[in-house]
Amino acid sequence: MPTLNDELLIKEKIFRQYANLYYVRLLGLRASVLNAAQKKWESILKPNTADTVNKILDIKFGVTCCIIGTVYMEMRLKPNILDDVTKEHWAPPSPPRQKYCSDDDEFFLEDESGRIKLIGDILKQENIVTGVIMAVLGKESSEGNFEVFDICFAGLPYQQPMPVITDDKYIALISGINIGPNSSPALQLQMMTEFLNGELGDSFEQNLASKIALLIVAGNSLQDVKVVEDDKKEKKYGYDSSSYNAQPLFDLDNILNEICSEVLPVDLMPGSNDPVNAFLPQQPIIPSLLPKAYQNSTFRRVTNPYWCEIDGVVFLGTSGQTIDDIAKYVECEDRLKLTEQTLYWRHVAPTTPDTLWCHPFRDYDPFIMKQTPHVYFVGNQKEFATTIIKGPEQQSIRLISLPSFSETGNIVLVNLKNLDCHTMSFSSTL
Amino acid sequence: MDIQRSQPLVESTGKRQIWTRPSIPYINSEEHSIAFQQIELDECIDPYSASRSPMIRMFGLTEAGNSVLCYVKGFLPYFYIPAPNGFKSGDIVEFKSSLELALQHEISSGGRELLNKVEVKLKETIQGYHGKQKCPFLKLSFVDTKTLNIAKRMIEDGSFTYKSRDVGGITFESNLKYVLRFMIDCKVTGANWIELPPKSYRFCAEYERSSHCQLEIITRHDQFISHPPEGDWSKIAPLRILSFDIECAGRKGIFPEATHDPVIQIANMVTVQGEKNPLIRNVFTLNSCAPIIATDVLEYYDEGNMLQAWCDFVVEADPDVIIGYNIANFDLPYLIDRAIHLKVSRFPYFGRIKCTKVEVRDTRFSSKAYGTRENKSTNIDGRIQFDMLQVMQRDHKLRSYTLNSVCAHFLGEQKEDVHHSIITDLHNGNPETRRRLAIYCLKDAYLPQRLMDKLMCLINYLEMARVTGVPFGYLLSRGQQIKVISQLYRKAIEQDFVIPARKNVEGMDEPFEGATVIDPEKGFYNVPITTLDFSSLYPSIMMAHNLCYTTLVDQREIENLKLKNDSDYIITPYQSARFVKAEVRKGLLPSILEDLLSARKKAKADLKKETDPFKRAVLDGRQLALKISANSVYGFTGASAGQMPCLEISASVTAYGRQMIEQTKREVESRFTMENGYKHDAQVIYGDTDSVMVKFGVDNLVDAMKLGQEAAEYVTGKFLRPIKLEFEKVYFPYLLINKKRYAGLYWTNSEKWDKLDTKGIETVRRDNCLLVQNVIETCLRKVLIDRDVSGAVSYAKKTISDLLQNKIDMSQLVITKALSKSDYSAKQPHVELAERMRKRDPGSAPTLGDRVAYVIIKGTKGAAAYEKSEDPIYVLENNIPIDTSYYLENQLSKPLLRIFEPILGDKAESLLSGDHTRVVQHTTPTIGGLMKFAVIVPTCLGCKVPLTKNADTVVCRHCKPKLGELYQKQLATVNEFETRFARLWTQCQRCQGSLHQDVLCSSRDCPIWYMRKKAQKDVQDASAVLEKFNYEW
Repeated sequence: MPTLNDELLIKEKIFRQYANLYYVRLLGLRASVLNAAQKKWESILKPNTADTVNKILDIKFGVTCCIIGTVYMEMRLKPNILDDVTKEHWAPPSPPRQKYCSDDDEFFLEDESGRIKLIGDILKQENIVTGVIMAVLGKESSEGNFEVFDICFAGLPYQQPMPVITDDKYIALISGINIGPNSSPALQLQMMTEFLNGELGDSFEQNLASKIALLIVAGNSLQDVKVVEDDKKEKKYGYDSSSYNAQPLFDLDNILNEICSEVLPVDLMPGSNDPVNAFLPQQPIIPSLLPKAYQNSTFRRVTNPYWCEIDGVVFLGTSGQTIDDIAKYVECEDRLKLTEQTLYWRHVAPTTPDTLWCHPFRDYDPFIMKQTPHVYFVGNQKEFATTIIKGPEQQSIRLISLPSFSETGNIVLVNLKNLDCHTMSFSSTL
Repeated sequence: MDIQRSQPLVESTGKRQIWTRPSIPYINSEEHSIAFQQIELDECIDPYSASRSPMIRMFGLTEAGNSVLCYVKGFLPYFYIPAPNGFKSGDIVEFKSSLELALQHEISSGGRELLNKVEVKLKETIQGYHGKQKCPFLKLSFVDTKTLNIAKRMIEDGSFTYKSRDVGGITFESNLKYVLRFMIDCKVTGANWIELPPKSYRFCAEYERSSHCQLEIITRHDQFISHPPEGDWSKIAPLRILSFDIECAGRKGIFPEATHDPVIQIANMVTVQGEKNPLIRNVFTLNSCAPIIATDVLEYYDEGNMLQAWCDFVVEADPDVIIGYNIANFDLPYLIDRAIHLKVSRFPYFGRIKCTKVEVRDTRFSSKAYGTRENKSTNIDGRIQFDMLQVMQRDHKLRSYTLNSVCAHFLGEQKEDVHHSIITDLHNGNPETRRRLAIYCLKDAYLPQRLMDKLMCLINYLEMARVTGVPFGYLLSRGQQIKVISQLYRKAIEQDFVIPARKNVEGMDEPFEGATVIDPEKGFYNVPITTLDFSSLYPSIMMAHNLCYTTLVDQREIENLKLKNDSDYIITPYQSARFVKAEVRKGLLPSILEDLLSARKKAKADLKKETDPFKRAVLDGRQLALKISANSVYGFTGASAGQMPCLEISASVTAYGRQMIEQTKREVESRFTMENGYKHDAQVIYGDTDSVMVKFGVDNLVDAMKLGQEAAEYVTGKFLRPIKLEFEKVYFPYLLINKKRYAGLYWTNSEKWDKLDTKGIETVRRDNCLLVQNVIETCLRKVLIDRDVSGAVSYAKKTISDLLQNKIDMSQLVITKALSKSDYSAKQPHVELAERMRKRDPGSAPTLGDRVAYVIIKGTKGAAAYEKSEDPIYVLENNIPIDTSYYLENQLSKPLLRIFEPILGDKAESLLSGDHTRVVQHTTPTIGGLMKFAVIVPTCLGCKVPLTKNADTVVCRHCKPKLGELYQKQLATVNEFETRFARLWTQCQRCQGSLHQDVLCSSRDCPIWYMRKKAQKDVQDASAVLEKFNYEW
């Protein structure tokens, strides 16, 4: 996956405006969406005639047509920095919201030429979010709105054929190790390490462990340390170094080193709590923070989101921010369902940059899916869940909602042979 | 607002929206009556009368929305003079012919009659009480106003003599304008309904028609019915309101000039009063423009054609009211000047009268209440102009009057602001960029309408016109006086009073003692402070003591008429001025006030009952108009430059006011004592104009309110009706800083406080930066609401420390001032800065009329503030250090000390010095003096020790173990900046309503504008530092 990951690596940090990102996204997906729309509404739209697919501005009143553009959702509850800034500054900050959606939400579709308000019951049924590129079939109503009859997304992209693998070979997935500042790593974490190293359990488990080819750590290896401002504390003017604690990072380094040095390769993805930049795509953790693990050639620092190919099986994973943010836009809490949606949208993180912060790319949108992965996992979720999605062109995708290890003690093993997937549980109470 | 989101009423099928009014129903003048609401009145000469007599034009519209022009004929201008001594009714003929002769001598009339009529009327002058004796006056009616003025002059300067004697040199009611004279005599108020019964009018013949109005009718002054605005007749006709905005393609750095810079777009919205959505939305563009949803885009390739088309549009859409933002001084004059320049000769005819040219005049309007303003005025006959900028400036005191900040204030939303230097670029682009501009222009056209709806300005002004009886147009173009004059004449005519004409005297303000102030017992009161207010103090004094022109009596008359002190007249505290009591004669001013106040009471009572929101708005507007009008009566008698100043009245009013405040203090302090069985001795800690603050000594709100009620009733009993002392509120706690400066938590019930009330404390003054306002507000809240004095102190200290460490956002430090004229004699920071910016880049420098935003930067020692002003953007880009001590000493310290001194006493000074002021951080500028010679050496990120050149490290030897920590610290900074950057720029995208286009907005009034710019730079810089860690440690 060198090309897909290559785009996720930020070469030059230049902070420009975001308009280009939306533009290249629309440009990158328009043809696919158009294609899908023409197929889906073949009986209604005659291909390549003037009134089939229009620029939004060219909509003619009352004529049924299909338009393609970027979704924008106007949501009253969406965090708004203007409110934060202009709000009386003595009022306490409002707590972050779990959901942005409300009954007043409005949908717009926008292209380079303009935007139009979408109306229709179908909009709320499809879990649509800001930033998605889609086609809508409908007509302009007398109020100047666009009445939507049907919606079409780009759909699943091409998937390379599943390789034939005869032996069991596992990829281990873990997320949310959450090493804290105070305690030494939990017992379950040590058990997990020992298992991976083949030092735990009976022969069955040891046999299983020996067939693991790679461990992917999907973010949040460290705990989110909130610095609580203490008003009562005597203010020290100047730099205060007492708040820094190097222990968690040190512990993580040791664990990773322990695993890597036993020849199990590790791909370390950063997550929202890890010491990397907050913007998506998150860049690999710099080596100096994990000096011991870095000594091992089996240790790879990678981006989030992350694409990789193992023996011809394509993996796509994120540390969870993408789906967490999408979930705020819709009432649906089924994370697998939302993950599936991103496949149809062909976009890993459509809510960037509106509510999910990302680097302002100019020439390409690295979150566009150019191909369909075989395995698609989302880290740091509440619970484990998995399913297989079948596409119209024989695509088959294993979706995994990967739970946080520190909360569930679960890691997930995926068998490359048949994409079967199951959890391994580690619990110190046993 | 979002243009694309609002709901058009007319479909966008490519067919143009319908501009015309509803068609007229069948009306037969023999059978049907016509009722219309007149909105504008003016005078003109009847072109078909042989004597060229004046007539009134009433413009208005019917309930069905048809426009009406009604000519009223037959009303002749007149004035009064006192009848010469010994004048008998038989002398009339002789008097008339001699005045006629004298007039003919002055005016070559071609033999037609000039003096229409001389009548003897028994009248009484309004000035002074002379025992109710009516005297004979001569009412002289003239054929036109010009003759009237000449006659007036001849009589006043004594050049006309009757029987070789001059006629006294005084005229009465001769300076009342013809239109107002007509309105008063025919009982027409501003914007009321006029009904023409069948047979009382006729339709104009085709040759008589002179206007674009749908109905053109003629009636006589004694034939129509003028309905007072009551009951059903208080309704408002469906006025058509045009809100428009123009854009000009200016040259870089020069404010658009009509002789050079073309008008490129005109956006229009026509709305029917009371309806939510616009009826017509269109934009006239020069050159092609991509379509806009639900809006007619009318493209023109020749500017002259576009202007003409706009004129035709206005005529066809026929708006009754034209609104906009700064249209009076910019948009309208610009359009007209531009049309002159382009020689579009048919352009300036968008008024309602077909052949009257719309022209621009310079006017100077000077009023005590509103200050002196130089304005341009444009006559658009028959259409009301209502410039929302002028309304805002009159009715609201704001930090800034840009459309953007006014909208942020009242509509709670930011508006995209495209700087005029970008406008030209957008215009020169392609149809898409012009569409972008058109959308911006449409927004600007729609905002004044929304602002007007939100603030109910039109309704309130209509009600004001009705209450005071002046034409609507006077409200924006004239001051307070004309409103009182109108009411005074209306009252006077009922009681056969005549009002002497006074020559306008300039200025000459004789100062007289103003309202009194009881010296404040400064301090911080942590007990309830009860406030007792006199409701409508000055009006009620005038009513209670019957103060009026007609009741003023001098010593000679008192002796003549044998009046007795106290039973017949009173002596006021001002130079023993004497007024007869109401039993002898009821004054005019008191009865005007009574009418106003009882009407207000009624409006308030109706308001309580009314449920329909639109009618409620009308009633609320009315009660407000009544209150303002009542208060302006006092001002009228005190305005020495006015038409009828009367120091005896105005000075007596204030003298009574002073006495009453002092008496209240005495009464309260002598009754509420421990001797009389109360728990504490009450103390009046402060009193001002119409209120006193009492400390009853109780520690809870319930008691304080109970005592307040009791005291109000008790003291009211000591005064004449209708003077009433009311208990309204309790402040608890209360911070009394000085005269007219205080703050307190405002309670009207003992359960929940209402608000934080402040007076005279730095908040809205614009030469303060926002930081001051925020700090003061927050400190006051902490002290008064949270009762946390130490919290307030530490907040103030933290802010000072943040300031000194450069942690305050730039937008908090920006000071703005308008660049109003080019030559200031004294050097001022914003003027100097504008000059310097012009040298740097003439294109983006502020021009005349722009607001200049600046911050104060570090300068050489002893440099004056005007040398240290700098453009905030330039400061951001070049890391120029802010002069934080200037902000501390010149901006923060005084207001802070002011509020903390009463609380902390001498300790307040410790706020400004101490530990928290020790750490100071400077930024290193990238330009300027010494920097040319400086060599930039990397320093250790841990301890700032200079590193050896080309060292492949970011820290020194000693800090190396701390690398991880330093990295994460830097990372945290970067992440904070990244989040800020993302949030700010995505917010701007949301605000501009487009994801695919770059944000252009340059609204400096927007609170996040500087932040946005700074976030971009901060994140870039911080990321660069972070990059340096990318080597193996």
